[in-house]
Amino acid sequence: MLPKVRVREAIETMKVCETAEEMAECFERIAKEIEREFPGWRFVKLRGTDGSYIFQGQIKGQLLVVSAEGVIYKKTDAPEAIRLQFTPQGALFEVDYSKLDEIFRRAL
Amino acid sequence: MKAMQELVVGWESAIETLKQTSDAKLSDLMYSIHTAFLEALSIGIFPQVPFDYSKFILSMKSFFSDPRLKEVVTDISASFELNLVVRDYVKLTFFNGKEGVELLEQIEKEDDFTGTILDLANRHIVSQFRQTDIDYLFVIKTLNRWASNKDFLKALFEGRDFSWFDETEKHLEEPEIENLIVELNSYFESQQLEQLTISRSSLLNTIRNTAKSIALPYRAEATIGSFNPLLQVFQLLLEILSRIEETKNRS
Repeated sequence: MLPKVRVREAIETMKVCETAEEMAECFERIAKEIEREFPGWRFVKLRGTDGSYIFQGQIKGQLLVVSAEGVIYKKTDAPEAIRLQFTPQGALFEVDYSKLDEIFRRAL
Repeated sequence: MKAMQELVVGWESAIETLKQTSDAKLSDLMYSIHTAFLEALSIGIFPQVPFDYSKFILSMKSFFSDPRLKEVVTDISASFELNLVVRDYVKLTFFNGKEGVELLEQIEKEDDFTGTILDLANRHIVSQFRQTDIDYLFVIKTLNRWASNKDFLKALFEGRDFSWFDETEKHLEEPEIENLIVELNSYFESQQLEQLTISRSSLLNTIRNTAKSIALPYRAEATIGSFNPLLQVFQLLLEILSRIEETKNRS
C-alpha cells in the first residue's frame, strides 16, 4: 500500500472526528504510523496564527490544513500558502486558504 | 517582535525559488530542506542573527545541482577530502562559526555519510554567504535534521513514491456534463421551474457553461468521501435559481 493511500484513509478517519483538535490528533497519529511503515516519508506539524493545524510533507511541501472550525484543506506544492510569523506564542504560520483546496466541511 | 520578525529575511524570494524549481528530484530535495527549516522553527530552534532564507535556498539549489551529491547518495561509502580552507573561512567569518564547525566535525566522526553530505553543502553555503554574517550553528543544525534522513535520500534516488495525494488531473467529460444537465432538467420539471421568466434553453446553456467553468479541472482525489464536484455544481446552480426566483417574486 502506497503512502498516499494511507493518507487518504487518514483523511476519511478525520471526517468522523468532532473537533479540529481531534482531527489533528487523528492525522498526526496515523502520519506517525506512515513514517514507521515507509522509512523516509516524513511530515512536520506546525500551528497556524488562527489556531489551525498544519501538516507539511517533506517532498514537494504537501500541505494538509485543519482550520480551527474543522474544515480540511489540502494542496500539493504550494509553499506560498503558509507564511512564517513570529508571535509571542512562537513561530506560527499564517495560512492563505485561497491557495488551498477545501476537501471536507461538515454539514451544519 | 519586529526584531524577531527580521530574523528570517527573504522568505518570499525563497518560496519563489522553491516554486520555480522544475526538476522533480531537485524540487523534492529542496522541499526536504524547507521542511527541516520549518521543523527547526516549530520546535523553537531560532537563528540568533538575521538569517537570509533566500540566499540559503539558493545555495542549497546550487548544492543539489552538484553531480557529486548523487555520487555520495548512491555510494554511501564514498567520502571527500575535507576542505580545510573553507573550514577556516567559516571559523573566521560566520557568527557561531566555531560552534558550527565543531558540530560538523562531531557529526562526521559519528556518521560518515551525513558528515560527507554536510561537508559538501558547507562549501555551497560559504559561496553564497561570503559577505554576510549568518548563524552557522543554526544552519548546520537545520541541515543535519535533513541529511540525517538517509532513508529519504536513498528512496528518492531509487525513485520511490512518497507522494501524499493523487496527482492525476481529471476533467469532467462531456457525457458527465450531459448527465448533469439531464439531472437538472428533471429537477426543474419536478419543481415546476419552467415558470421562470427566462427560457429553459437559455438556462440550460448557462448551466452548461457554468458547469464547465467552475468544475473543470478538478483533481481526482477531490472525490474522496462526500466531496462530489457534480454535487457542488448542482448546489451552486440551485442557489442561482433561488436568487432568480427571489428577483421574480420581488418584481
